[in-house]
Amino acid sequence: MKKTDVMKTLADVRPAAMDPIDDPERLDRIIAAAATRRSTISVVPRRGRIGLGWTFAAGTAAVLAVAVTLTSGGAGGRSAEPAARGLLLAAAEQTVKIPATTGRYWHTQGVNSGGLFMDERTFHGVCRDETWVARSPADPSWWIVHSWARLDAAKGAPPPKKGEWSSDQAHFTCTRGNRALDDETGKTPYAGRLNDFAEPGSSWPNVNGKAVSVADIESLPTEPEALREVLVQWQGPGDISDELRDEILFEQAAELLLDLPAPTEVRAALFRMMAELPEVRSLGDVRDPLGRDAVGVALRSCEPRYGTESRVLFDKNTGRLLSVARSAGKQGCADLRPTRWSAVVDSGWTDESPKVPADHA
Amino acid sequence: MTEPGPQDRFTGLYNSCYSNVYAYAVSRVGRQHAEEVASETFCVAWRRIDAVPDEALPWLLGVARNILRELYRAEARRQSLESELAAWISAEEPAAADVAESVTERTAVLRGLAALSDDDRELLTLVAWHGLRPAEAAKVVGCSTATFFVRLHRARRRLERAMAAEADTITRTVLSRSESLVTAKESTR
Repeated sequence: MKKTDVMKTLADVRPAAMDPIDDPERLDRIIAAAATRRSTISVVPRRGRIGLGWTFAAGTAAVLAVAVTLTSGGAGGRSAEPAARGLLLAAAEQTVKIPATTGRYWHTQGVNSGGLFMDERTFHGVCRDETWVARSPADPSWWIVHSWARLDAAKGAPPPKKGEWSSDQAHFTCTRGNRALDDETGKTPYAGRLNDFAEPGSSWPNVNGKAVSVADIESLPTEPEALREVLVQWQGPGDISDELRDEILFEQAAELLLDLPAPTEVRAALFRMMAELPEVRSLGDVRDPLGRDAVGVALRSCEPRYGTESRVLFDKNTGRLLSVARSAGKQGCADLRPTRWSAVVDSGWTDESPKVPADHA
Repeated sequence: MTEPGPQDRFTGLYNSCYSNVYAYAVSRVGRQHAEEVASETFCVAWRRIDAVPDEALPWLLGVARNILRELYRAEARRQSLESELAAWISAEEPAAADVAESVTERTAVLRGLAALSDDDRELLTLVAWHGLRPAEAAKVVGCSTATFFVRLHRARRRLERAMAAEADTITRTVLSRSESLVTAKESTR
């Protein structure tokens, strides 16, 4: 293919479907709605203080702020549902019994599944990967993908109609930070460098999109309240509801516990912090996506249009995190279906060097 | 000389910017929810008309961006946009006998775009599809113009890499389909 200006090509393929339909009554409807009801959300961008353009400052005094409607029960409490709180506090107790270790590399082996569902069809891709995160920024960190597997439509699903998506069209991307391997174009085994801090917000390790270093993770507070404050700072500025703030805290804790090098005391504090999030509920005894015995807690967000649920599954006896699984629905939480999960098979500090496939080293 | 009243100003704002805000919403969350996001954005603008700067579009897109973040969780946004991206790609997908380079390139750029992160997609489309100058786009995403340039440059490089990989796959797929067609035709002779 000849070299062309990619921005021009991109501009040329702007889809026609991005233009709104003509609707002469829309303006009147908007004015009527604006005049008669309060906004459900606080969304007004605020000016930056030092001329760097718009910024979205955190704050609770927003004039229009009203909580987004949540149909799941339990709002208003100051901590998780009692059963969930019990599981999380017990996990914190077990976690501190694990002896602290150290090493040159934080090494994890995992299995990740991602997919999409359209109408009655579901497609999933599963990748097995490992990460080698160097303690010293001077050493390279690596992401190694061992294999891809493609799981096609669910059993009994009807074949695609003409014009519908088929699994041939669906393609999946296994990602870590700013690295991605597409199942169509990528070849396994694959190895890519991870610690590229020149790419803000997308490097690895990252916590809910924020690039952090091993030192950042290791210096996190071990008191739940102080830990919460730091994680809220990591979320960045933004006028968001308390519910959304808690949802992001839950995700941050899940990511730190799943496969990042948080010290034992920090891990215990993360469990204790989750125990104080009001919407967290218990799943009781469950099996994780790899079939391992686990206990779990979940955080749901059920809205009229969408529902999402994140499940954190851990070993009852050790507090070790096993999997994080996510579901989503299109009718609130009435039709939640699994969309993605990540499971950790093994993780820990080691002095070994990464075993990088020969043609990538 | 008289200043326009708030309602006149709002009407002017609506007439000049509604389609831009709608298009931005489509590119972030798909057509299914774009109307709602755009309308909610203008509801906010109506109530805060005094806060809307003369250079209104970046402000409006900043509001739309916050509405998207608040109304639709990341997972829901991702799902809705996946359907939209699939529709765009299907619309551009080359026919079996059509291996024209421009068609392949158009498909590759959309598939490359689909393979990028949400952040990269937003930066690229703010400039290429929504016609914002980098200084304006920087206001929407809440960073300095200099930072925006750096992030845009990196996003562009990643799109080029993704495109190159996609174009290679598409060409191979289309060629193999064409070969099958030729074989099928020959076998019927």
